[in-house]
Amino acid sequence: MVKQYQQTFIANIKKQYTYLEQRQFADFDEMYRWLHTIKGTGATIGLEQAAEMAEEAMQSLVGTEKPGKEQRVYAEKIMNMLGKENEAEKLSITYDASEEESSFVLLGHVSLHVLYEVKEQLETLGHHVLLASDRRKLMEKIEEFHPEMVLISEDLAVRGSRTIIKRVKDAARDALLPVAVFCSGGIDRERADKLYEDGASFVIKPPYSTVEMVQVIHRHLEWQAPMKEALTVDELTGAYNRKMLEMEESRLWAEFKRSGKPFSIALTDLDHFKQINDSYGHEEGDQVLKWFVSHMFSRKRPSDHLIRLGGDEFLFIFQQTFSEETEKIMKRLQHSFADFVSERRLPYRLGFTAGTSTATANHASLQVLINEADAAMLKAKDAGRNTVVSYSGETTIDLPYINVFIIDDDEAMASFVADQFHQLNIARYRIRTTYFSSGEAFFEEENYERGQRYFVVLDVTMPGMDGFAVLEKLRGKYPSSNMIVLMLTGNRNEEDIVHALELGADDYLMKPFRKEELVARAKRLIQRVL
Amino acid sequence: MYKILVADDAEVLRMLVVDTLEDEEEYIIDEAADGKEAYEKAGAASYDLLIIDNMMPEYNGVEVVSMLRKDGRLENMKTLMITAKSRDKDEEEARKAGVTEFLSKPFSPALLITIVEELLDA
Repeated sequence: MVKQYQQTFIANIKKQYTYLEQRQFADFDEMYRWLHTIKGTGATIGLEQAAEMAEEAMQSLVGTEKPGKEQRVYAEKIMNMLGKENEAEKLSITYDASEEESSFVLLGHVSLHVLYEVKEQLETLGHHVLLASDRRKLMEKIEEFHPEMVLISEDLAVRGSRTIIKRVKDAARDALLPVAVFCSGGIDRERADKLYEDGASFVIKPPYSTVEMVQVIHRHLEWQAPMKEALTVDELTGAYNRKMLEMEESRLWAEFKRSGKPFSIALTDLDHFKQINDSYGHEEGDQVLKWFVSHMFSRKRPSDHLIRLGGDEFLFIFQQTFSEETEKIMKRLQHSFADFVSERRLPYRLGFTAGTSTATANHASLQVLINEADAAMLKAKDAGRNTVVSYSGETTIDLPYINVFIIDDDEAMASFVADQFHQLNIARYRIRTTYFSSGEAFFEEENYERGQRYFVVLDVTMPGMDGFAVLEKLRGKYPSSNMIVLMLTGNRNEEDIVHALELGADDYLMKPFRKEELVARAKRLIQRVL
Repeated sequence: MYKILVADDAEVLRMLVVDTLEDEEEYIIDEAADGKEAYEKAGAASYDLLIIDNMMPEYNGVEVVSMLRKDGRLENMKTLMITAKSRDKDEEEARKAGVTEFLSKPFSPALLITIVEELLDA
């Protein structure tokens, strides 16, 4: 949809450009209006780079009477950019996004001329380049796009006696993110050393050339690729391993948010794999896994990912793909694999069963999607294997619950705690939170059921029944083996803590606490009841 | 050292802001739990920056800022307003009232510090 708007928009902008060209860009108001349109509409319909350049051009107009050569150069650059957008659209009909595509943020106060040249050359080498003009935009873009590398100028990287390099990595949630710093003025050894100490991957010192900058960046990205692969590839089959999933998750959600197109996943299990292993030996089993992966690699699109979760369980990730399309792709893969198998005249039957699920804004994590696909896959197996079933709301997930009861008179605190629990990924379990505003409200009804698992977050200070009274009653009434109690205390009173532990609390947290603390405690404590 | 007043009635969010800024070790932080307290504290002591949520009981953020401006307290104090969603029209009004910069929820710690630094550096 957005692409359609873009095309119409670009066509209009082109028309106006031709007109401006005829008039030799002489009129201030006309030029300003043109740039204003690109800035305002462009950013809304996904032509951010052009919009930003228009904004810069507008700033360059301020204080001048007539547009000059500088603005004309801007106008040409904008037209170039928009032209490329149009071509990209044409190409994407025939090709899928290249898997190797990498992106990073270039940012700078260096002369624009150098910056754009570097950007252009990197783009011809297949990298996707974004620009940010100040620290705020830099942080926002890092969070949104998860770049593979960040290049920043020294004046933005350094603030007083400290640098923002660590913060850049925090924003990217990637401690290994390469950050290059280029210095526009002279730089002495001491300053460069400080940048390295703070985590810069390398410092580009003047006099530098475009070639140097481009090659340094390009090589770095190239070197990174095989290392990343060595970390993330399953040795036996060549598919990705679980590690890749952790590394890709935030990127997948960010891409979904950016493009508005969901990604889908398919969980697959080879049919009768165990029997093959038992009857024909592990070597044959390994061979089957390799066949499966090499066949899928030959059929999947470049942007699709294939991950071996373990044993004969595989996960497909389809970027920017809706539910129906995913089901079709999986059925197609199933058929082509069946052909592949029949050509080999194997003494056993070989096929796979798949369950699929598609991301929505309501999904809290990839784990939730995988649970759904798992439920769909079980259904597919019941339906007779070698089939594909898509998850729908009606498919019941039979994963057991961890019931989280939050008993706290402060509702804001309770909803904060509940949010953290919803984001916990506990494999093969679902989290269900229930809120009670007081101990009395909790005991009003019977909330306990035998055989279930419970995690109680209990505030000490409450009007009426306080946390200790609630704890005492809980421990007296229910077996403690499947109920964890985490106390929230408001003060640093040691007696309170000792008292809570004596009454049978598993752990306590002192307010105010960080969400990381809560998550770490919860994860560790939950292990006790699993 | 810069002095910052953080005004937000939502305890958890205020906690997040305070924790984030305290990590930087170059700020002295005070807190206010509603608009009235924010107005009183900002009137009684001098701060370099007021970080204020717009939606608050007693006085909302814009009201607090415009009262402070009338009192002449904004001359040496920047204001950062935390909003639920940035809407251009509301922002324009808030800017007229004296708000320097905006940050819309949800935001990350890295972004918050970056903006605070930019405001205090300028």
